[in-house]
Amino acid sequence: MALDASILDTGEQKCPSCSGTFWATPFAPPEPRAEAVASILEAGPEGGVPCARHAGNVAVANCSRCGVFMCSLCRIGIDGLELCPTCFDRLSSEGALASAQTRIRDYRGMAITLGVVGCFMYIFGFITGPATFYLAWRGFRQRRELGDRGGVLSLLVAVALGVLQIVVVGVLIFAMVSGIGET
Amino acid sequence: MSTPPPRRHYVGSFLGWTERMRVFRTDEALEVDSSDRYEIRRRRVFFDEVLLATLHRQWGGGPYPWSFASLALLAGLLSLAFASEPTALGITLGIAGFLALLALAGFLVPSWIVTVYGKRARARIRIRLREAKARTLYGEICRAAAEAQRALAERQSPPVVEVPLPPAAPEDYSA
Repeated sequence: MALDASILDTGEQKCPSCSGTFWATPFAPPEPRAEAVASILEAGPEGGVPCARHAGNVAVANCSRCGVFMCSLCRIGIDGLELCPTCFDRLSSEGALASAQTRIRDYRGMAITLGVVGCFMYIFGFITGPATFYLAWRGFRQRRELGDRGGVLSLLVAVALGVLQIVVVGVLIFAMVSGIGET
Repeated sequence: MSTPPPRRHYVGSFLGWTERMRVFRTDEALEVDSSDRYEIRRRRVFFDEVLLATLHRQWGGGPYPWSFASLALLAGLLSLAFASEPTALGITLGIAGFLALLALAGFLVPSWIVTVYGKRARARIRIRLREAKARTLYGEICRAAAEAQRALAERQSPPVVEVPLPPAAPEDYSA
């Protein structure tokens, strides 16, 4: 049963579904207001440069990447840059804007998964072991690039599982070779 | 050259059956990284868009207790195969008992769950055992949301225009 925020008060509450106690704080966020766009007519004769996309609007900034004049309608402020919509599209599709990234490869998760799965498929350990190492290395790099704390233990576990796979394969190959030698 | 301060701080995680949510705090939002072990999907709950924050207690939540219970059952069934081997039977029963204890602890240990509902996304954080930590985090998030929404309301409120007062009337109109 979905909770209706409008019936909640701040503080201790009783769940209408399970009768359990919980604490709630409802908020009433203000609706964001559209920014007023200054037009050339309002700016007067000395009011200046028009926006490259909207000829009727006054330019308020230059794009940090291509330098085009843009009005407050076109201006996108992100990661300390002021970008026009075209440059924003290009940079975000290239993954150059950290704040605009919404899908990222999970190297840490892949390293752990391959480490665990590889232990059950130890015959292929000569492939899965180094692959686990590689993914864990990418995971460490990704962690540093994203500025994240935590997650070291799981990456170390992945490295240990990679080592285990390689050792198991090494022992198997050694046993096979020595067995062949004895016969 | 000094290293720049981290853009975000890890505040907690929520582990489900199919995905793991890791929640980070930035100056303006909670960043929720949901991972299916292959790809991370990032969503944000902006503090100035928070609709509701809740804190509740749950017993035996998450997949860990059920996973340990399943493994204990598996080890118990495996021990049946070693009924004629006392050493192997002892080892498998020992493993089954240890896993059953872990499962029992998982079911008995309470979890505190902080949930933050935004307009477009939701953040959940599970904190096992540490009620004080959960309450502190809940309080911090509520404070941050209240401050952000107050600041937004102040930015959006129309500026106070100083209307000049009319000149004072002369004392003597006839003059």
